[in-house]
Amino acid sequence: MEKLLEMKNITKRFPGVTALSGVNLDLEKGEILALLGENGAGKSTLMKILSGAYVPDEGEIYLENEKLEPRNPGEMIEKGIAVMYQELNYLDDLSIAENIFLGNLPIKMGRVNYKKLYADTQELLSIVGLKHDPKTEVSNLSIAEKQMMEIAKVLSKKNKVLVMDEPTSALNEVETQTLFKLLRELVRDGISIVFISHKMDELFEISNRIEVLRDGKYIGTVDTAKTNVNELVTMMVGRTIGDMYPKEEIKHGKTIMSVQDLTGTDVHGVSFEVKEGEIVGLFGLMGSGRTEIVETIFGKHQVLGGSVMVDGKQVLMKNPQDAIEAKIAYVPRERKKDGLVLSASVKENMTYAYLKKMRKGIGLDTSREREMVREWIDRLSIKTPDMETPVDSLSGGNQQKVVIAKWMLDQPRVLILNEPTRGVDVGAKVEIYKMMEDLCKMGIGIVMISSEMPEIMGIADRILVVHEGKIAGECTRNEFSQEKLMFLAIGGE
Amino acid sequence: MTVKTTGIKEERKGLIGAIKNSGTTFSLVIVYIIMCIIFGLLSPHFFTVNNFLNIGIYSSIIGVMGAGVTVAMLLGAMDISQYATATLASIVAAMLLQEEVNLFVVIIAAIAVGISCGAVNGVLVAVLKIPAIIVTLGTMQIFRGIAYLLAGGKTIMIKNADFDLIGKGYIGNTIPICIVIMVLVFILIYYLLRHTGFGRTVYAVGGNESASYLSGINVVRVKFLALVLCGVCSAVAGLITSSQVGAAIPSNGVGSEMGVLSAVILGGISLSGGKGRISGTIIGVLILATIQNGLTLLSVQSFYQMIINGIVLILAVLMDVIRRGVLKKQ
Repeated sequence: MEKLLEMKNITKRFPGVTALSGVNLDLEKGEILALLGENGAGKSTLMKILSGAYVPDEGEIYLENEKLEPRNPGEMIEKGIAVMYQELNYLDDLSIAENIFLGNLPIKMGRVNYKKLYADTQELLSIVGLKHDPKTEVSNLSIAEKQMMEIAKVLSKKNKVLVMDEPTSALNEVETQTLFKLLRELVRDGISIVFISHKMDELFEISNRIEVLRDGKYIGTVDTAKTNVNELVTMMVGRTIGDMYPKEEIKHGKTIMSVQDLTGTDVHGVSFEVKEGEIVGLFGLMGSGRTEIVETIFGKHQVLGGSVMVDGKQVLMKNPQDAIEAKIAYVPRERKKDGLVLSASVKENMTYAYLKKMRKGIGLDTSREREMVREWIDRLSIKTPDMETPVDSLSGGNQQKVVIAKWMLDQPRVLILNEPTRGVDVGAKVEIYKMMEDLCKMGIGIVMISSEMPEIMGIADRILVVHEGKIAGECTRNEFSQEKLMFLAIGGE
Repeated sequence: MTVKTTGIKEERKGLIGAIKNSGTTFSLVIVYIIMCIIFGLLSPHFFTVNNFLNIGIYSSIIGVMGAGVTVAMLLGAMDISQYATATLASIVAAMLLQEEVNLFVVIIAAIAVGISCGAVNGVLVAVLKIPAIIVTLGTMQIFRGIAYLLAGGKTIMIKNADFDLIGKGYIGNTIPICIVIMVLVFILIYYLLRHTGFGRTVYAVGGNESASYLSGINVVRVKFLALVLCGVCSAVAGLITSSQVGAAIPSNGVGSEMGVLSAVILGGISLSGGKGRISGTIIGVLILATIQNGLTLLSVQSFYQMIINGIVLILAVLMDVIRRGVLKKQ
C-alpha cells in the first residue's frame, strides 16, 4: 500500500517533561489507524503536532513524500490534514451552513453568496446523512448531529487525512454505528483516518491497524485482525492487568434506598430498590433519562411525584442538601463541570460536602480536616504530591477519586456514580472498580450509570435499562447479554 | 493529554520571567516599593511618618469598601452600588445626629442601612439570579436617589465631637482611628475567607457554582451573605467619610464608583471569581492611595492623576495576563 503520511522520530519536550520521545506514525492511503494509549501517553500531543498547533523539537513529517514544516495550524489545514478535537468547535448561534463554511464563505461581488452556501451545504449534509435545513441554528442539534456537521466541514475542504480524537465519547451505540458507516464511506473515497479512542470494542470494529503509545514512547503497531484485547492492554500499561472487572461475591444486606413511582422532568414513574453491598447498573442510550433519574433523586431537578426513602425515612428532595442529609452521594458525569472546583486544592475539594460538620467555634477544625483528608487519600490511593496541590494538575482518574472521596468523609449510604470511568485510563478504571467493591463491603449501596456495556455487565449485580424516562426492563447478573440490554434500551417490547 | 508539570516550575529570566514566576501579591509589593522609591526621590516630604499616616487615612475608605467587595468579587459578583450605599448610610446617620440620637444607636442604624441595601442586592442577585453588575447599576441609582430625597438634595452638617473621632480621631495621639477600623475590617475578612467554612464556600462557589451546588453548598445563602457583607462595609466607609468631612453629602463618591473596583482588580482578584486574596486588595488599595498622595505632593494636576490611575490599572491587569500565560504562544 501507498504511504500517505509519515511522522518520524517525533520528540516534543515541555518544561520539566518530555511528552513525546522518538515517536513514529505512518498512515497508508485509505486506512483507519487507531491510536491507543492511556491518558498522558502522548496521543493528544502527537495530534497537536500533526495539526500544526505544536512544533516538534525533533523529527520530521512527510505527506506524500513531501516534507512538512508547519509553523501554525493554518498550514496543515491547507495541506489537507483536518483534526477534529474531542471538544468540538462550533458556534451555537450560527446556522449549520455558516458553521461549515466559516472563514471560507462563498463570496459574490463582495457579499456572501447565500444561495451557493446553502446549496453546497445541502450537498454535504446529504453525504453525512444529516437531515436538517442548512439554515438551522446549530444550538438545535444534538451532540451526535454536531459531530456529523463537523465531518461535513472536513469534507467541505479537500482533505487527505482526518484525525478524530475520541469522536464517540458523547455518542450512543446507534449514533456510533452511523458514524462508523460514514467513516467507512470516507475511507472508500480515499481519505485516511487516524482514530483515537479508549473503547476497545470500537477499535476492533473500525480500525485496520492499531498503534500503541505509552509514556510518550512508541510501543508498536499491530494489525487489528491479528491482535486481541489482552495484548493491547499489556502494550498500553506495560504489564498484564489481571482481571479487568474484579467482581467479588458480596452478600447483599437489607434494602437501603427505595424509589417509588418517581416522576419529574423526563422521569416517568420510576421505581427501584438498592440493597446494602449491591451495585445496581442503570443502562440506557444518551437522552434516555438516566441522568435525569439520578439527578432528580439527588434533588437537582424538580420532583413532580413519587418518593425516595433511605433507611425507611423519606427524603425531601428539594435540593441536593436534602439528599446529602439523607446520606445519598452523587458523582456527576461531567467531573470538571459539576464535580470539582478546579481552582481549589485537593483538600478543599474533598471537604466541600462536609464543611458543616467540620466546624470548630466560628472557624474550621483544620487538624481533623487534614487527618480525614489524609486518611481518604490513602484509602483510595489518590496519587497527588500533597493535599494542597491544585486538583487541576491531577490526572483524570485521580480527579475522579477526589470526587468520590468528597463523599466518603461523611460515610454515605447510597453512592450514585454517573459514568465514573469516563475519560479515565485503563489502569485507573480497574482501580475504580476495585474501590466500588470495597465500598460495597462497607455496606454502601451503589447505583452506577454507564454507557459502556462491557463495563456495566462486568461490575453490576443487576442492570435496570432506561428508555424514555422509564425503567424498560431489569436483568440480573445471569441474564446479562448485550443483545438483551440493547433491545430494551431502544424500546423493544 | 494534560502535561503534568507538578512541582516543576519553569525557570525564566528577564522581566517577564520575574513577573511570571512570582505570586500576584508579591509582584505588586515590588511595584509598590519601586513606586515609593521614585516618589521619595522626587519629594523630600514623601518618606515621613506623617505622610504615610496620610496615605493610611486616605486608604481607609477605599480599603473598607474594598475588603467587602473582595468577597463579592470572589463570587464573581461586582458591586458598584457601594458609594451609593455608603452615602445613604451617612445621610441617615447625619439626620439621626441632628435629632441628637445616641451615637451608638446612630452607628447601628447606619450599619442597618448597609445591611438592608446589601440584602436588596443579595435577593436580586442570589435569589432572582440577575447579574450583579446590572443589579447594582440599578440599585446604585435607587440608593443614591433615596439619599438625595432624604437630604432634600442638600448637604447635612454634622456637629458631634464623638462622631468626629471615627474619621479624625487618634488613639494615643499617634494612630488614626480610621486606620485601625480599616485594619480590623481587613483582619476580619482575612479570617472569614481563610479560616471559616463560609470562606471556603465563597471560593468554591466562585470557582465552580455547579459543583458547589451539587456538593450541598447553599449557593444562594453564600451569595446573599457576601452582598450583605459588602453593604455593611460600605456603611462603615460611609461613616468614616462623613466623619472626616464633618458632613453627609448626598453627591459623595459620584464618579468614583470604579475606584474601589480598580483597587481590587489591581490586587489580583479574578473578575470571574474564585481566585484572589485579601492581601492583594490591601496592596491594591495602598498603591492607588500612594499614587494619589505622591502626585499631590508633587503638585501634579488632578486631571493627570486620573490618567495615571487608569494606566496603572491597565498595567496591573496586563501583568496578570502575562502571568497566566495568555499571551504565550503554544
